[in-house]
Amino acid sequence: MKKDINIIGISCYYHDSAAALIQNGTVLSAIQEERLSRIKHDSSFPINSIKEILRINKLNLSDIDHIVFYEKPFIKFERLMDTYVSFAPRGIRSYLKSMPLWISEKLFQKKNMINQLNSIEKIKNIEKKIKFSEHHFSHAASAFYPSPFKEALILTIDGVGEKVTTSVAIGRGSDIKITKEIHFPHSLGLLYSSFTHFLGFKVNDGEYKVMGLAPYGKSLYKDLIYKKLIDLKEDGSFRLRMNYFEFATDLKMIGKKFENLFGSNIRKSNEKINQFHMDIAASIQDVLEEIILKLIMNLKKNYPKLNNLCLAGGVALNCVANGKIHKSKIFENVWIQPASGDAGGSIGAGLAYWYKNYSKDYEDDKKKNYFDPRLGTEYSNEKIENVLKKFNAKYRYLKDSELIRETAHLLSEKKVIGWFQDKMEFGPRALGSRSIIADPRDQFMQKKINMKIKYREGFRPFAPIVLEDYVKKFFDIETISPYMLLVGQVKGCEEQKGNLDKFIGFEKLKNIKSLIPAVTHVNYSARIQTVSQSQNKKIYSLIQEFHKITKIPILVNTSFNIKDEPIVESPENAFKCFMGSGLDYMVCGNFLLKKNEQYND
Amino acid sequence: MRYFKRLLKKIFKYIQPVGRFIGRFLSPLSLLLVYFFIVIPTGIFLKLLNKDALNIKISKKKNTYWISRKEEPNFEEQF
Repeated sequence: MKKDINIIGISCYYHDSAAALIQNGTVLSAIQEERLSRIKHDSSFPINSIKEILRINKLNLSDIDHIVFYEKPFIKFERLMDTYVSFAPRGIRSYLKSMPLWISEKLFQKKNMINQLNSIEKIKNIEKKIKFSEHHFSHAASAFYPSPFKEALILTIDGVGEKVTTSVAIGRGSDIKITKEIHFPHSLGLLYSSFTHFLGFKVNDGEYKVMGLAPYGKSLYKDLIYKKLIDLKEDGSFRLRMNYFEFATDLKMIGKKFENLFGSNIRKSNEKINQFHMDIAASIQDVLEEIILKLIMNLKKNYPKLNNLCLAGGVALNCVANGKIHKSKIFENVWIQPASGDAGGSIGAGLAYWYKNYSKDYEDDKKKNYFDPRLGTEYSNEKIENVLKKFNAKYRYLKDSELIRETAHLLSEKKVIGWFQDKMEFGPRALGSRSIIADPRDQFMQKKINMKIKYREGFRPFAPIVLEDYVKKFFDIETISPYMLLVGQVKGCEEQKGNLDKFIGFEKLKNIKSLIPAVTHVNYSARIQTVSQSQNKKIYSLIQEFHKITKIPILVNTSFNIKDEPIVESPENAFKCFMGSGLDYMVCGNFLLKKNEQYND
Repeated sequence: MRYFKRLLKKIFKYIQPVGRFIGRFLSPLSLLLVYFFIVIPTGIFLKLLNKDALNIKISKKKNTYWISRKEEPNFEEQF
């Protein structure tokens, strides 16, 4: 019998650290460290994730053949030095802040990794097992190998890796070849993050808020952005006009010159969002979409025979842009890695190494049609019950069919429910394993969930999870969207579109006229997740039951957490979140818990 | 011998904070020296040679900003 080849992919030391196990070219497990450490966007070495992955797969560290880090630290250091030399004497503050960290830690990442791994299990010559991929190569691999395509163009766009910010590669069978790149400081991710900072949101966290704010505004500043901030060539390649940005030389993204350009200061996080901020968000979203479409259109001209496109990198999480890429039909088929951010680099690094070194074992027909992102921890009913007993919780055990029936009824009575099932998802979205679910027909549901449960800004609607068979009836997308990565229009709202013009700012959201207002944005769009029976049997049956009662095959699906906390991982996390928020019920495995039956202290 | 060890421990106890105190100033100082005597002069030198290491400049003449790539990634090195 052939020996299994086990590879652990690791991404860490920047943001969103994670680990993944690849066995014989298949991703078996992947966990983001923040879920276990409970520190949002945790960037530290993913020691908990590695331990958990080994435990789940009944392996020891000595069973692992290779450990692949997702990027090359020395190239990153070289880019940093090039930046300081190029911009000197600007940049001294950033230099004094980052250099001590590099000299004391980051240049010795391999040694740090060995120390961390040794704390799990001492293995002779472990340094020989440690390998280094490239940041964008890891992204490209995470997009191509799990996709259903045997041949595809791969586009990766993010803030910055080592020095690459945008790359184009061709994937064929087991091989990926990078053909061209755009380098730091010219970056669509950093351009978008500069506006995120300008609008008073946290960089590397609040980008999706900018995207959510955009539909409230008009793209009034698009021309100014093109004229002053970016030089865009006919083929979609670009350079930023760096005199307006500070991110290369300072500890902030932008400065006075950027503020003067738009005639406004950076919004303070507690400052009210006004129409200007909405127009800025609309403008940068518009620019981003136009540039990506231009890039893709030209890539298609260069590679006319390729009909498939794979996307990854943080910018591929911009589901509004993704929706437009799909709609444009420039490429017949598009596949986007659900963990497109740096966490997904762990999957890519491991896969890249396997395909590069063991591709003789590659079989074309091994490709799967569906990449299941449920790659994390799982808890049996027995384990869940032990936790509930520990907390003296009041709960009822229900058989699968009873559980589905009762939960669907509760949802139809406008109850908001924490839904904890099966393996935890990998990537930033909750896709039905660690979700908060609710009735999308309720006009006030969006406000209720935001104010009582998530404690977050109320301007963003929630995402719908819809039965795959009904997606075309309710939304204008032509394809499935199992990873909640596409935005489409809600059907039947065409006549309503003008009606919101008489309302100002966030008032628009309260006056939406739609069959499913809780998941409809002010431009009558929705961030769609489709689900089929084979992808997730439990949530499929639940929505089917809800459909029988309400005639609507859709639920609200948002992540099971409160603001500024990572998504729940364990029954403990889930119970604490349930008790600490305004959730009405929780379904954890086969147990149903009602909030007002629990103790009050 | 035991007395000697104890004495050394005591001395170390008092020397350690002094060392840390010096280190706190010395490392930024050495970093500043590197910055002023290596980083800035190299930057000026490259500017005089009209070298644009980061390709910061906007170019009207160029048709594209893509940088083509031939080499395959290796997995053995950190660079």
